Amino acid sequence: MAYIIKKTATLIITLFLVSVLAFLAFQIIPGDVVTSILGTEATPEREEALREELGLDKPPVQRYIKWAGGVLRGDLGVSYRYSKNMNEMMPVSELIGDKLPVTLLLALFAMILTILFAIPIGVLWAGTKNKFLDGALNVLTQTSMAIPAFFLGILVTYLFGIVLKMFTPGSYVSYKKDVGAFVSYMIFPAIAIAIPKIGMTARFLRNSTLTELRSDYVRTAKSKGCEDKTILFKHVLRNAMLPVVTFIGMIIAETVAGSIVVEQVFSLPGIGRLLISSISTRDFPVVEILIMYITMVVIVVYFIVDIIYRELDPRIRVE
Amino acid sequence: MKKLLTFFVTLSIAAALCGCAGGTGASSEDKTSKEATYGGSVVVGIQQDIDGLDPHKVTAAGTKEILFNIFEGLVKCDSNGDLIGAVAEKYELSDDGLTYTFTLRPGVKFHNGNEVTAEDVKYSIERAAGLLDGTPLVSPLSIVTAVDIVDEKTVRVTAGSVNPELIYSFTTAIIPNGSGEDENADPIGTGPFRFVSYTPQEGIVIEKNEDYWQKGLPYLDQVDFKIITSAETALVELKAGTVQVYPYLTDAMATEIESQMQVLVSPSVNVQALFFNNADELLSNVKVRQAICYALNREEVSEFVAGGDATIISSAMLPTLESYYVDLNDTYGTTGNVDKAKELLAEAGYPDGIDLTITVPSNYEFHMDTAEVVVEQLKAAGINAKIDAVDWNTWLEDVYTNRNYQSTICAITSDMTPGYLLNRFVSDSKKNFINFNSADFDAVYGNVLEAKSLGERGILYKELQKILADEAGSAFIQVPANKVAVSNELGGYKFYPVYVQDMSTVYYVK
Repeated sequence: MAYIIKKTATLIITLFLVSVLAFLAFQIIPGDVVTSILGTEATPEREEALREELGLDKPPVQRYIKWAGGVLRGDLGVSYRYSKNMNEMMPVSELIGDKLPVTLLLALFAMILTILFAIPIGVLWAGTKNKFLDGALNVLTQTSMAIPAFFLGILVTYLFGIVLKMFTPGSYVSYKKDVGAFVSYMIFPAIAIAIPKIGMTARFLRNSTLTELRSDYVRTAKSKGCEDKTILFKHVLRNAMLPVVTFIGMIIAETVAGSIVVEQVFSLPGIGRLLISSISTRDFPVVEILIMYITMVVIVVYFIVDIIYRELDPRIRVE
Repeated sequence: MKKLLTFFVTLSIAAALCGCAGGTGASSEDKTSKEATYGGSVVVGIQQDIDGLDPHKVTAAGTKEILFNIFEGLVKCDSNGDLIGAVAEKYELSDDGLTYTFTLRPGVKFHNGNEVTAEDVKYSIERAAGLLDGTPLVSPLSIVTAVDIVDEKTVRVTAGSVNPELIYSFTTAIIPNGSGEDENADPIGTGPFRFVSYTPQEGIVIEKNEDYWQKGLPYLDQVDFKIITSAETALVELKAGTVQVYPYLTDAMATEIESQMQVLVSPSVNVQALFFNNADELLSNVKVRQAICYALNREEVSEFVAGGDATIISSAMLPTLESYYVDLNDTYGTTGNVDKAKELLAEAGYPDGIDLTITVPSNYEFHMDTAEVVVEQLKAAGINAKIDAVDWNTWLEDVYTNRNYQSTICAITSDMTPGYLLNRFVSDSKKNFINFNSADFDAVYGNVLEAKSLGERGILYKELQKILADEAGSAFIQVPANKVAVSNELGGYKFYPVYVQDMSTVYYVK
């Protein structure tokens, strides 16, 4: 219980610090949201009117307090940039609410693929005595990690979309309209995200398994007559998974925070794309909330990793 | 005595003046052997998100080109660059050039089914001109002092000063009375398409307006403007057939897609230049500015970055505005003159060359590419240039607003108004981001404001172009071409001398 309270306090303090830092960063970087919205042709009267409308005529501290107060009351504010109709600006919650499931599901699909492939490959690799397979896996995983995400995305689209015609690039359908079409499209961006993650995770698992295989308890097990397989799956894997769980935790945090490049390539309306465009248009309310969200995801995922750790390794629980 | 201009007359005058020869070059209408059909939907790829749905408030060219399909003004531009009547059937201009009397076209309906009334027109113009709350939304209309309803079908607009180019601003959208102040105000106009939905980051969907006043238009049932931010993705989606029209092909993309789609080419309305900050210590010296102009081999630049499809220019006017444009390419030549550049630098007191910083908005690949070539060319003349790549908002603030830069490569997107590209170089203009300060230029521009007719203005505009070129206000480079990919199944795509995507004439061929 004390543990949870401590973690929650950390979460709140971190969120506060991050929000202040993001706010400060936006004060420092050049670029004025009013010119960004109105362009170069606006009359001074309009610039003044808009500045007032957005509350930008108030001093920064007052603006921050007003914003933070709103967030505490559950009001995430409105976007500077996106309008809902001719007269109203888009509330940030509405704007992000639409995009969030896309990114979360994309991350989920990518994670399923990663775990599904990386763990068997890693174990197989660690256990193999075949020089050729070892070499091949070495080259393959290296390559998968070395290809830039953007190029990989384009490669997946070309291969599966244009050459094999397994899907039509750009034919994204919202999950609200057609779940089947949504899933069958999302598989391909998920593959593009998963490929390097599979490479990394498999390598990581292999290395940690090999380290464990050299431990004393393996020798003991061997000498008492355990079969290799039993040693690998019953004893070694459980220990070898420990660092891998942390690693997967990091990957999840990264993916959920927005697979910016892949979202661009596959024209997915996720938050990664939203974050980039909001930064470039200086849409502060949107950026601030997205940064808070990403911070929260990272903290929560690490928290879950901590719990899994405790389950896997009784020593930590005792401490 | 009042001079009555029916739109038929306006049309021919404007044709003579503008002579924009809109479709200059290819139009997909050469597919005459195939028949136009009604129905179907088309996906048009666009590069960036729209900046709003309020036609009076949006500023981005990328938004206006879409809203052209939804909203119309009293007049609108046709593909030849002429003004034709839209919501108004005709107008009369008083002898003193101050009063415009518009006669509304009977039977024009808004997308909500209501007929356009004089009240709607009065409201729209007053809103755009800032007469409602003191904040003009369309700058040129700020000289409008009154909008009066003469009768049900007639509206009189009075301007405080004469501006023969004001008529171009009556392309401002007509919207229902009071609609801009409505909660949940849906965009309602009179255009060939009605607004269906807008999803941030995804795009905007419009559908056919069955009651459109131009009979027979539009052909398509639905148009989906889809946001595709990266050029590579756009190319893949064009190949896959997900996108049928893409108006922003780069030279490399055009080459790659040519075998699968129609690639239509037409001059754009962007004037690209190496703009000088004339207030900069080094660049305030006219000889240094001229030296840089001489050092540029603009034909080579154009060949490199635009595949030779651009039009080379030496001053600030679109060559397609034929009645106003004067060819000044002899001033500095188009192929570079390194000796002359070096000579001028020596005369200016820099025999060992100079250092120059070129600030470039890095989101524009075209300008970045241009900058790379320019840097190499300047080297030969002893000008040691370096590129400072900044993001667009930094550019807007540092270069455009605060004018805190030495030189920059970018482009100005012109509108239909002939003086649009020149009026910004008057020394005290808010838009004069190059700090151009020429007594001659200001004096001639003073005469422009006095000139009562477009013809008189045309002569003066030519003088202004010459002064700007001679004094090397900036090194003008080129007007790049627009390259549009259009699916082989489509016909009727039209180019405009303004930046719009008119989807009303596009159809599927049988």
